[in-house]
Amino acid sequence: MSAAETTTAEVPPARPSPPPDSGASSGRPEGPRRVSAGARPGAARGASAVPWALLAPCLLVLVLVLGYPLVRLVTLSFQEFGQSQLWGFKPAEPAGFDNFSKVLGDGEFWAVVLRTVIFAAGSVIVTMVLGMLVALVLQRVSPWVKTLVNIALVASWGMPVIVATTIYKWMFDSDYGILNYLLSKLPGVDLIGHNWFASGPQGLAVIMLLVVWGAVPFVVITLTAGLTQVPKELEEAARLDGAGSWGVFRNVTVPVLKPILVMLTTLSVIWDMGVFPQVFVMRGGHPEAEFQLLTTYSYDRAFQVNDYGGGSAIALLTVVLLLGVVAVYMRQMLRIGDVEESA
Amino acid sequence: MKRKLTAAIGIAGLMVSIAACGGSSEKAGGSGENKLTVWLTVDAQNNWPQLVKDADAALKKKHPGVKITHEYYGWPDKNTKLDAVLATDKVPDVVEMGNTEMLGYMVKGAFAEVDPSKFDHSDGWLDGLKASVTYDGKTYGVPYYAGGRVANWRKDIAAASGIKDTPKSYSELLSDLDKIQKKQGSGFNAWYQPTRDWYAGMSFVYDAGGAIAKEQGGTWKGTLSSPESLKGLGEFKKVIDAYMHGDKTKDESDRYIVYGQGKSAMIFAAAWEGATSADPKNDKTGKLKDNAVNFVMPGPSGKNMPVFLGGSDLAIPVKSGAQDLAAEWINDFAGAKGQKGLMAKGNLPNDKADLETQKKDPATAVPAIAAESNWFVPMAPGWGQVEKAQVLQTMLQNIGTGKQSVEAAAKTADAAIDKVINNK
Repeated sequence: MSAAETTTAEVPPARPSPPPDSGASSGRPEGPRRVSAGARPGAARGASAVPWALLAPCLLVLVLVLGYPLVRLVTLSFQEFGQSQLWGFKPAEPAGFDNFSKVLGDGEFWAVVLRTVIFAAGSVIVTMVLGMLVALVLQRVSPWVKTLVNIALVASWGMPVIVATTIYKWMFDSDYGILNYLLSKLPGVDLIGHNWFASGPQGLAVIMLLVVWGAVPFVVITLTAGLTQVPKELEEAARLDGAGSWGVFRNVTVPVLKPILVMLTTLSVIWDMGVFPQVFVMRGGHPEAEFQLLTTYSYDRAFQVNDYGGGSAIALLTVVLLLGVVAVYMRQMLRIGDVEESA
Repeated sequence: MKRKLTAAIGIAGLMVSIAACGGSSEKAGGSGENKLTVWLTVDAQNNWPQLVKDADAALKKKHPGVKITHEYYGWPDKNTKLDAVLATDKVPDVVEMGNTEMLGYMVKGAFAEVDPSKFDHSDGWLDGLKASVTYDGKTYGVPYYAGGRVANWRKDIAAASGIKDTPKSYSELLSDLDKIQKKQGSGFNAWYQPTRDWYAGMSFVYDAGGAIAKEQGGTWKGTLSSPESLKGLGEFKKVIDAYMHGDKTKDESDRYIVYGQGKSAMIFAAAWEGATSADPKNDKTGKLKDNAVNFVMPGPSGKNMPVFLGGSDLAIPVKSGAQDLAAEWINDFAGAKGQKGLMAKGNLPNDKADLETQKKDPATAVPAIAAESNWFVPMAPGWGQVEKAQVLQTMLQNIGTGKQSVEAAAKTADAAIDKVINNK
């Protein structure tokens, strides 16, 4: 996830909140969201066509801006489309499911899928755990430290992804990197000249670190905001009932934060499955086979080998996969929520 | 309610049409009659910007009021950009192409045919370059310059190990490098040879009698795992293991900068790289200026190492609106006068007559003689895709880092080559 992406994504957090409200309407603990939830029906009752009319220009622009590329992507994936077609020297020929069967029948594709899923899962888990830890720590430190940490977080959040990637590239450089130098200061460690990118897993771990570094600030800031909404009385009550810190966290904090956690995790999954510049720039524009994620693989197909149809097919499969992952995940989280709330 | 809806849609429609207007008024900004857009690679920008200025001035003299825009691109992403732009109406009027990249574009009809008689020296163009701009008996580009490859080493570092003269044979070279390596220690590159530099890697292959791919009955097949090719690749690995101690996942694009940093004794590179490293801008120790010398690279086979006869061509996209003007600019830039400037920068000229003069002049003889023994990429329709997919680079990196054995890496590369090399 990039700093740039996280900044633009500041808006979505508001959106996912309605579904949990309407979905688990019965027996919810008293929360501040009640107010907005109560205001909604009143607005909807007024007139049914006016909101749509007001939305229409916006929707139209959305359809044009998002819909056109999507339609193009789908049509491309069912066509044989190379350079000659791109330049208009040859008409695009319909190819049926050829592109898909070629991609799906290629062992390399499945290796890439697996790698992407592991990479994204790792990034999301590390991001969420780290983010939660930092957010919890922030609650307990003095306002001074809190401000300093927040400044650091916003600074790293604001750094353009290409800049961050380049700096990581320098830090991990095999000949001149500061990391090898520092690690080698430790007794018994000799990493001078060690190349982190000679092996795929090691190199991807470095890239994962970079992705997590860029993603944690957003999670921390959102969770910090969320934590202020956890009612102190509930925590105290739990403590009186004999719950330890872990018990309070598990039984009070997490359930209250659940909507935010679901939203953050889902967003992280989407972002981390879509990581591109970090890998691309880190590998100097030519990721080796072991570094290919679905995004770079699709780019490679389309723009390196000039098989735009094949590239589109991979991109489309990525979207389907992503929808699958996110849908399953959301459903599961909501179901857990139901069980815990009714208990 | 309906009326409000229609009104809303109407407003939206209005917004869209305004946006569309903004787009169409910009369209005239592309190259027209009196405008020329020239795409060159950063080589021209960094190493011979004066030639570009001179060509502009020459054209402006003949056509007052002509506006020339220059854009410079690095080799790795140039063609991705070009592919995208060729699909639009805003194509450049002149574009520099690597001579190995021409074929794929000529096959698909992306470039306009040119009349060779309009260009200086066209009857004496070097054979390799001439072939690279010819398809189906027609000419689709103009040779710009050729790049020879030579070895370049540091006299002072060699002397510190008691070596007086540049090596004449491969075994002499290796024993000299061994001495240098021993003297300078393991943090030093006796030979800085970027692992992904396939031009050097394939020189070893062709020297051993191997080849990247061969044609049989109209279809091409990768031959990197032939016994000869494997022998060459094995020798390449030996060199990397023994003398190259830098990052083994890098390519050759910043070699002259690394060489200028002073921790390497030798490079086997494009002819201009030694001189560029010694430029005060890149020469961080100040020692290269008087000590970097070129010599003809000896090959393990006992002959001179066959070098990649790379080079650049200038082509005119078929969609360009100013083809005649473009042709004139090309001749101003790469014609007789331009060739003199290019040679002064250590390049090989695009024509035979100039090459002969160059061979006789001691100052330029090394690259000219080295170029006599050369190899070129397979002229297969899908070759461009092999290059873009970085098949050879990946193979060499895997060999250099030891991730794959020479045999396994070559076999993987052959399979990858076979996949695309016959694609039109």
